[in-house]
Amino acid sequence: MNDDHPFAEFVAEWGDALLRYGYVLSGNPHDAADLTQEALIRLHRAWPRVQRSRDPVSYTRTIMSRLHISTWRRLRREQLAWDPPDRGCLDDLPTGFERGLWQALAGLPRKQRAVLVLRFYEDLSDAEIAEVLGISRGTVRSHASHGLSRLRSVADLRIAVNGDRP
Amino acid sequence: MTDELETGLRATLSHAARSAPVLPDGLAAQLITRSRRRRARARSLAAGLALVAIAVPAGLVARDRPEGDVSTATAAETQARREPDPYVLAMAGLTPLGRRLIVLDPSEDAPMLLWFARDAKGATLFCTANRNRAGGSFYGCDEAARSSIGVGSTSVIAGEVLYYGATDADVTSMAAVAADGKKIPGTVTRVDGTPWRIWTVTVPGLAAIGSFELTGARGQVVNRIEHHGSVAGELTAPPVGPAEEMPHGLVVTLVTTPDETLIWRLNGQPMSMNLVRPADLLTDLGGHAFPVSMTSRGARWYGIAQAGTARVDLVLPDGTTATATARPDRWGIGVSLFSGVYRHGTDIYQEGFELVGYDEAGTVLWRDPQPAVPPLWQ
Repeated sequence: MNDDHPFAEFVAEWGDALLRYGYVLSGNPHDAADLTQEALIRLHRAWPRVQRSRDPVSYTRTIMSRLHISTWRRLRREQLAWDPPDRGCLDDLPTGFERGLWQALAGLPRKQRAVLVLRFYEDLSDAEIAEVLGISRGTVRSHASHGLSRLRSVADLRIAVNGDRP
Repeated sequence: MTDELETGLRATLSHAARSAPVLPDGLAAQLITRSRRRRARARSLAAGLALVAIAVPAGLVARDRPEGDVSTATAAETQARREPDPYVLAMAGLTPLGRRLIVLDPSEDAPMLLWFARDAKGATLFCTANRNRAGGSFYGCDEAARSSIGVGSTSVIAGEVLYYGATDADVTSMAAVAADGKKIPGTVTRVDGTPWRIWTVTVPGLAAIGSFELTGARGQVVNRIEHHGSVAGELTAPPVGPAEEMPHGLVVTLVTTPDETLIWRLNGQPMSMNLVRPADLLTDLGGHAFPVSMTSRGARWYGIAQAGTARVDLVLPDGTTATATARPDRWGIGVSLFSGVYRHGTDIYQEGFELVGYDEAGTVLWRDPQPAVPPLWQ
């Protein structure tokens, strides 16, 4: 059997889920596509080792998270294999409250956003988030607190102005 | 409020995720090809930098290319660079197979090599070597059989992009097929004494390529390589704020997709880019600041320099000096933009030069020497 077959199967099974993670992490389809493809290329390079010792989904998610909070883009020397259409999701969000939160997320520093996405989208514990991002649990809590505080101020403002609750 | 916020945040992220795009079919094969090619390049770059460090031990700094490419090495003195030929490095332990093909890398305006080799186990390898005008180089070899299903390219942030690949199929011509169906003819070069051929095609940087068609002597399509190609996001993103019209026809725009980037264009065609997110701004991969990022295309030289720079001089070894007035960027990034032309018969990188930045009062703010880079491949 081709050595690459298990990797191709992994991409087929998990690629879209990872892309969705990249989307909520970065907030736009271009970065989501870049992050996902870059992380999958790195996963392929480490595939024999990862298969033996780690969960490939967790490994890829960790790569995507760390790439997103780093300066990885300067390392990209090639156009990756695929670039998605430029389309936002605001129209798909059902309430003004959610649209406001999505826009407010875009204003957060990358680490704060990553912590909130890992906690509220991936449902990871603080210890797991710390491992994914390579930071301490205390830093995770600090980022979560600051991020929620900033979102809360935006949400409070929306409620005060529009009475628009989730 | 906290519970409401957290509940709302979960719902927002869940709903937003449904709007994410889906990966196209066949992407895994392309990612595998790129992974293998990049692995070869990474080994090559590391080896190249190590040897350079031995040859020029003083003043080496790692810095990004003006196009935001992988790091290269630049000596801090204007002297002849004694870098090893990346072709020689690539061929360590390998046997050449046929002659080398020299093509123009349009993004660098510099030659690029493509060739075949055989390793100790008898496997046929497809190899490439690039060297930018500033002397940075990378090279790599991959199994030719794997290369036949993939596509390589030069930098996509450029007026033209060279795509290339290898095939052992009996093909005589090829074309890139744009998303709108238009075909852009390329070239197929047969390597004597082998069943292998190298195909190349140069397309406009703004052309979205959907596939590459390899055809036989009777015009039949022997192989179609799907590309899922599209124009780089930086080139299609809407600009933020007004454009800056620079001297000598250059136009600069700021885009924020996928991240803060300045795009330089001439007559509407992309020329190069600068990453200007605060973390990237005039900062090398090691986190060290440098004062200027200059690109040279034809007689034009242009780029960004540290804030406060009012004038940039390009000084050649014979004392010839070209001057460009610099102006603060209009987007609040915190850099100065400059563009100029020089009248000189030869490639300035072959002779070496120095860039000197001045403030409004004429005081020297910074100096950035570029060592001479003798040509390798003619």
